Amino acid sequence: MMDYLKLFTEPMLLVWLAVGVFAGVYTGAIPGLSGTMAVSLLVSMTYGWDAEPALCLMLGVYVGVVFGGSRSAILLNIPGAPAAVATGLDGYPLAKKGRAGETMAAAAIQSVVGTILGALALWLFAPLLSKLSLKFRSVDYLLLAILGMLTVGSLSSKSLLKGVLSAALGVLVGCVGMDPVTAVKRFTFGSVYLNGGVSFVVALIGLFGAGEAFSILKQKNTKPVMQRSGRIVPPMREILRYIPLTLRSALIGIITGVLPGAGGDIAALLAYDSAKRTVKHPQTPFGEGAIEGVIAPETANNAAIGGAFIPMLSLGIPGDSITAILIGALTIHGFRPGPDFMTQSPQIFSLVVTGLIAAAFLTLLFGLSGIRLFTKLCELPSERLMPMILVLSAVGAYAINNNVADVIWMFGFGVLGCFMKQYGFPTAPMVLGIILSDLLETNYIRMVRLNGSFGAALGSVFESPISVCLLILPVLFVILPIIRNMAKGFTKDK
Amino acid sequence: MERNGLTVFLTAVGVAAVAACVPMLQKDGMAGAGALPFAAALVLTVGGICAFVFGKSTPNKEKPLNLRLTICITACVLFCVLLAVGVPFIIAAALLLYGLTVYCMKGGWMSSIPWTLIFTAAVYFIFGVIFKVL
Repeated sequence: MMDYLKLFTEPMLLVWLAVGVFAGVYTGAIPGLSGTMAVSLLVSMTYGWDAEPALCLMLGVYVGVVFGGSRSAILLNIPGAPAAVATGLDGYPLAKKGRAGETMAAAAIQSVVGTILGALALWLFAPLLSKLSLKFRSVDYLLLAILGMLTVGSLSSKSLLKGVLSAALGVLVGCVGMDPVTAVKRFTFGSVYLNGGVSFVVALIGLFGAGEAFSILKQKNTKPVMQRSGRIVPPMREILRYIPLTLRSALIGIITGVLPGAGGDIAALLAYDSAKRTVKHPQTPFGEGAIEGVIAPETANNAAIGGAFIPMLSLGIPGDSITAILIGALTIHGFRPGPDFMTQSPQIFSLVVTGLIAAAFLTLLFGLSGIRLFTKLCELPSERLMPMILVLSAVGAYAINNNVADVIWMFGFGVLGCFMKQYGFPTAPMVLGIILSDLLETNYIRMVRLNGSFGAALGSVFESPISVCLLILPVLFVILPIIRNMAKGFTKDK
Repeated sequence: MERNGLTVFLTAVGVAAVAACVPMLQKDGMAGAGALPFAAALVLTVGGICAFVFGKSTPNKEKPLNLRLTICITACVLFCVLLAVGVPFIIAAALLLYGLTVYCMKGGWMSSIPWTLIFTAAVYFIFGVIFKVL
């Protein structure tokens, strides 16, 4: 019990946690500066520190960064992280309607709830959920990735075919570089830069940031959007109204976070898709400013944090890239995440659980503060704001590898994003395709090679109940809307 | 769905990618490096052809590339050139910001682009002398 109270009995731990959350919230808002980069810098900075303050600082940055990505997604339609792509789909339209403050407050509250639910899942169900993650085979990851690709329908508000083409282009862009299993070079045209593939952060910044800036600068005399003044924190009855959606999204986030390699990016998109399918009568249609479209992904991507810690602490397998770095950090400080971790180092486990919950409340504090100031960004004339966005996009792209080639590719994606917007092609499915291409390909090739042939690999789907469930879900996603439309047509005719 | 330049471009990319994937498929089959890009390229090609065959040919009132967009893209290209020749990032970024903001606010290219270029050349010359590059 005393281990769980350590955060409050040693104030400096709380101070470092607060510093981490503050830094994370503002780092996450800048596209190109990722949580992985921030945490990996902190590993070397905290090399000589004691384990507990170092862990508190990195934990704070992790939680802050996941929330911070939503700020730029809502205000400027430039997701600070891939996990915020889904948030921007409805967050940005809400900001354009003058509701940026309320939307950012809703995102902050849902981030807190998601983080707390993820921490509780870590505390209560770590052994059970870690056993689940061990049962996932390559075929299950492949089916999960296919499930993720089927969210294209949710991300393509007007034309499904355009969404599919956009996703296919994204998968093709994701295949540029060396094949993850056989290291064969594809579409590199002899360029050393392309051997490493096109960074999805560069594509993200280009398509959303520079693309949006080019689209707006193309027009003359655009009027700034005046933001609503008045209450920004929603009343309690509004928060309680969305409890079922919050719990569903948190569950999706926790389970996706538990799967090594899946992470908050996929959790947010799956939660958005689930919200779109299950919320029957949103006040505003999804894609045009539905608050449910902000609640679901923000809850899920924060719940995935607790989920990612489950395999990390109980099995020594990282749930995502940041937990992979945290494993290294714990090892440097003399701890060994794995099956005996919770019994051998209970103080670190309890510090992670209480640290996540405390970081969640600190995220609320830092997330709600300054909202009115940030919403003033939306009131700036676009002639002043968009050039700043272009420079910020260039900074973000350059910050990845200090490479001019990233900036050139970013502007190239920006031009593509501008034309895609002009012709009504959604850009979110393209980012989805880039993110999922690696997961799809690695697990597909592993599945076929482990089973000997493509036919045997297909047969292996039916060997596990998890695979069968994951196979049924995509089939239902495709068939149910068709049945629903047929039933509607039949009822109308009657 | 309508027929437009971007659909044609995507179809062309799909066809080119299919052609590029065929040798990889011949070498390693469906368990190799060519499988996923071939599938994606096939979807692009088939989808693009369907859009072209069945899509409506509605004229887009808004030109895809107007003078303002061309100026913005040119400014970004200049920015990349400045970075590539070694101008410090912060200087190149400030110039891009200045040039584009002034252009967009004033609404006329004659008022800002020449001054931006003159200012860029002057700063580059000064820094070149200071750092003994020139």
